[in-house]
Amino acid sequence: MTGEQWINFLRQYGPIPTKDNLYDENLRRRSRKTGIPQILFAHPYEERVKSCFSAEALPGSVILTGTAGDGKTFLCGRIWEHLNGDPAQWARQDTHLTLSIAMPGTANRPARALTLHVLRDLSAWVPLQGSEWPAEKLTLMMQLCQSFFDAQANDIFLVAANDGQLGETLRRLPSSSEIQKAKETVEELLVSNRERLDGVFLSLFNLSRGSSAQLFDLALDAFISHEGWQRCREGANAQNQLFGSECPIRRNVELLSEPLVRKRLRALLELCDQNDLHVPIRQLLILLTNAVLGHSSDQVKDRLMTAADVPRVIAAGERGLASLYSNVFGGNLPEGRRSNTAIFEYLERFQIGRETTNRIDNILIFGESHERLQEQFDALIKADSFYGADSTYVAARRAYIEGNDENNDASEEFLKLLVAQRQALFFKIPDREVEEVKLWNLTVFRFGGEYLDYVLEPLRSQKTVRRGLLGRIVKGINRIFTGMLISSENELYVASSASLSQSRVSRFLEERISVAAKHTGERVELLFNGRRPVLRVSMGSGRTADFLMTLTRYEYLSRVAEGAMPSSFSKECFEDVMTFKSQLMRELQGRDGQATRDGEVTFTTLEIDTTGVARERHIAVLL
Amino acid sequence: MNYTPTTKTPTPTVADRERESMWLEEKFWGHRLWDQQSPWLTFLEFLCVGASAYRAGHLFDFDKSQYPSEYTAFGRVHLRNILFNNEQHIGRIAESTGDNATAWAKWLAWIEGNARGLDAGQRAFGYLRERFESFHDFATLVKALRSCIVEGDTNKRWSSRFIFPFGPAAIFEDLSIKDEVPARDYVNFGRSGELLYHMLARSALREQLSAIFPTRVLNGNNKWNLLVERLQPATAESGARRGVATFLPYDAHPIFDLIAEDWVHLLHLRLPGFDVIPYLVTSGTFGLLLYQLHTSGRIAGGISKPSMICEVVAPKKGLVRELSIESFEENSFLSVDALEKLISSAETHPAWNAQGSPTDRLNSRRSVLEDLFRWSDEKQVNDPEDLLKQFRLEAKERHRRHFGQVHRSFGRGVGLVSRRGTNRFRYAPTDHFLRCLVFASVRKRVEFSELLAHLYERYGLVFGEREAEDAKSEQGIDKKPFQQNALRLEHRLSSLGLLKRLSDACAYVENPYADQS
Repeated sequence: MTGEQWINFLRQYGPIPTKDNLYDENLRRRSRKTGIPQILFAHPYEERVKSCFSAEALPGSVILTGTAGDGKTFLCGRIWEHLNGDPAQWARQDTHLTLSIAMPGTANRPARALTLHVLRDLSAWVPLQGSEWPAEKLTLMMQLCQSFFDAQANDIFLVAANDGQLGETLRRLPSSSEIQKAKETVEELLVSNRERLDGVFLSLFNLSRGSSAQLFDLALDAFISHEGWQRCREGANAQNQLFGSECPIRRNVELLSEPLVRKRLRALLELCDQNDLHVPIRQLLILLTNAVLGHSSDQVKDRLMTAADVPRVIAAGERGLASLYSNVFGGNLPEGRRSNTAIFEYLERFQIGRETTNRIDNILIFGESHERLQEQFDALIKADSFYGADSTYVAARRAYIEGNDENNDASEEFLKLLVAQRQALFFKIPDREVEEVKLWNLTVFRFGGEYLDYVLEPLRSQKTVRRGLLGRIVKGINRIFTGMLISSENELYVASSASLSQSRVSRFLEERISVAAKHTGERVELLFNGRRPVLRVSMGSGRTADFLMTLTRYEYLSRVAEGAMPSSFSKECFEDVMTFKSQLMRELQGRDGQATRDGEVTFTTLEIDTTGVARERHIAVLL
Repeated sequence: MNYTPTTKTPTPTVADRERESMWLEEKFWGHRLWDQQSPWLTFLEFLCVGASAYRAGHLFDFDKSQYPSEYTAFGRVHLRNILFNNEQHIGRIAESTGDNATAWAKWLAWIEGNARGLDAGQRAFGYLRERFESFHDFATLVKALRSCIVEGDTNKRWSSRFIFPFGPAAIFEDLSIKDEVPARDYVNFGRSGELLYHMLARSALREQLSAIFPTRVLNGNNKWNLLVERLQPATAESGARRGVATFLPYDAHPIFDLIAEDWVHLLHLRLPGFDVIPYLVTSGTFGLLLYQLHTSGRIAGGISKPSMICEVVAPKKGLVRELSIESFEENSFLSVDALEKLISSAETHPAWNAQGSPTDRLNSRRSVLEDLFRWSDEKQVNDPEDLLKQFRLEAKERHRRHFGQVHRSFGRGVGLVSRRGTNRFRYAPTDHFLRCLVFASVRKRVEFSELLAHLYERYGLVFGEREAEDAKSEQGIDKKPFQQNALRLEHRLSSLGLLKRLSDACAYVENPYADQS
């Protein structure tokens, strides 16, 4: 393997059009043919899936589900090898394979011989939509469903399918109570994020529920430590050749190895997880490959550089177009391809490059000659001879500032460069300056950094979240619950209009719930469910209501608390908070019974004064 | 499909025909579906019947729903004077008069001089003073109740305004108050609500409904109902007899069961307080729309379940919009087709072609039309051949003005039919309507494509390609626009917090209020 061959091989991992279901097979074949090892790392689920087939395991079938690129087929292959299946048989591409496995006996179970059916790609195996089930496939499906409920089943299964196909396939089977039960079981496992249910002999692993951030760590390590890079370094012989000192590919690989770049990228992926956006392995490899090889010129095929592109790009002064900082967001790709690639579509939602502050733009535009900003400009932009202030940037900036340009071309050009520089700053601003520069204002999630460092981090290490942050969440919720700019953060105000709980403005107080724990059992706290923060409201007498946090919900509530009422920011969040209010009211009503005292009924109206303090007034009606 | 005609039908002499010139739509669809009645007014009228039956201990009782069924409705004229007759006055007095006793005196003097619909003996409001701690409290709560006016934005006379139905004390009928005497009026309460009641009372689920409905809707023991009750004098009103002329021609009908199932489902949701009511309102009138449509299709011939192609509003016009307009127009025309068929049926009557002199024949035909449709030409027609023509002309004209509008007007009322972005009506559901569908038909959760299939199967609503292919099987459709339509629906449901996407291949619609048990 030469460096050049490695780069050619690597391009296959990039955002180039491929046939989805052949992806893993194609790479394997290519790897075998060229002798270049694939980018491999232990799949986080591998050990858990293997253990399902060990002697101590609970008996039953296994379903691997997840999005395209999560490594379902790959894992099936690993299990096949693990159980001593014939590699030649696997290579033949059959969609249904069988294997006899001997299950050694245990204290409670005699030794048995089982038949394992492997369906490595369910969608390729089931008959086409609209056509009939062939008898033998139907029988096999019935066996699959039966195996879920029979501890003694002699035929067990290992099935790889994405969740949509899985549900669809089960729905297409002729209806019977067993199939209905199987369908409900799978659905329950999928929706509730569990792997097993009591009394059901099925383990379902949803690979899309794994942490993208953890996968990123694994993928990045495997990527950077691939021996291909060593070949590149060894082969570098001239400044302007692949991996020469001027080579952008080399620079990008180095950048990717820098702890700060890694940290920020990982933070974005962690936040994707917190917004329910799962990034599969294939997408991570696309991200890394594109980050390193990307170039936004049409001259570069598929916008991914080869070794041959390197000298030309350097000669043309187009090194800036290979910037890792833009490639990470798919900035080198045409709009259509970018928005069709999940990872770039997800990262696009952060709007990095388009969001900014005066402070940051001042550094970028006036920093060079500004007394106070100069130091930062020098460190962050000038010092970067690759992707910082090159001559193109300096010229465009001058034209923009002087504004002697009749048509707007030059300023538009500069604004484009500005986007790239802002993207770069997101990865360059050192940790010690994050708060001062307000790094997260470069993204649409201004509270993103805080969410990671002061909410997720303490919760993960079983500490409490700062009171002020919890208070802000409560304040945001109060404003939505009441429709008034209330400023209280020590109590949760549950209010309604007289008739409906869902009115925008609610002037009748149903109940106040103390944030600090009270002897009645009332309290509001942020807990952790293993994946996400959860706001739990306890109302006493064992009644609670939970509100699951996402990054978007946290951002929304924080912004509402800070004074904005961004009803357009997310209608969905508003609806979610209102649904939570309904749940709370339901629980409160269940707790109270009727709010009548002998001889009178009372109403509590809610008004706020100019400082946002809530004033209550009690009105009694005598019976 | 079980359409069982009722055996107890009104005879011409018994029927209070309310100046109607014929008994045509009334005979086959009922007396009557009233196009000018909004979903809320329908529901409030329904509640008048329901509350009365509940008081008498026979809520949703099948036998008591048979013709002629009666109920007692209340006017609650004191309450309505306080809430709606010169609304500003209470607030003005409360603000301008610091002293409690003076404020009461001022207002009582005013109301006792200006209250309407009450005779001299009834015009006393002094009871209020003992029930509130201050006039200011009274004014605040009256203001709160006024903020709960049903359809508050329409400019109606004060005797046709209604407050939210907090409980039995807040349920009253529409009145016209002339010359101090309140009288029942059929403009706002046109009997659609009465029919809705009878449909539910004749549905298969009537017993379940009668068990759960009062606990969620007619429960008087909540503070708002108690407040409304305290605004009224202690002596109970005797009420007025209503509903004798109401007539529903079926004892069983698939739509009766459909509405009842949806209601039972809605009533079991874990919604707090009164939140279920707006969904009952929408679902009830949507049921009436389906009843009108399905019955029309059946009479017109062979169409057991008309489909409705719905556009989830797209930024620009496209195939789905065109087809939804077409589908709406076809469906609107079904009742006209049905009518035509009914009118023509006179010609197959044995007496229609009786032999004899032209005068004999004319008289014989007159008696056929009198017999079938209670219509008389009032001796205006001379030629027996012109008689049916004249009848058809009058029938269609009347149909066009009211019954023929039911489909459109109910559809708009519930948020199914809209003209948004076009100048023609089509099916383009609102968020509230979509939410109502999910609440009424999703038990806990259902996969998105299953929901589409279910909405088609149950209501005839078409959103996605598979359903469109089935509904338009005779001509075939382009799938792509319907895929996009379904995608837009998915986004809408997701923005309403009702849809959870598991992956790019799988999404579930979830009912957040589903009964957990």
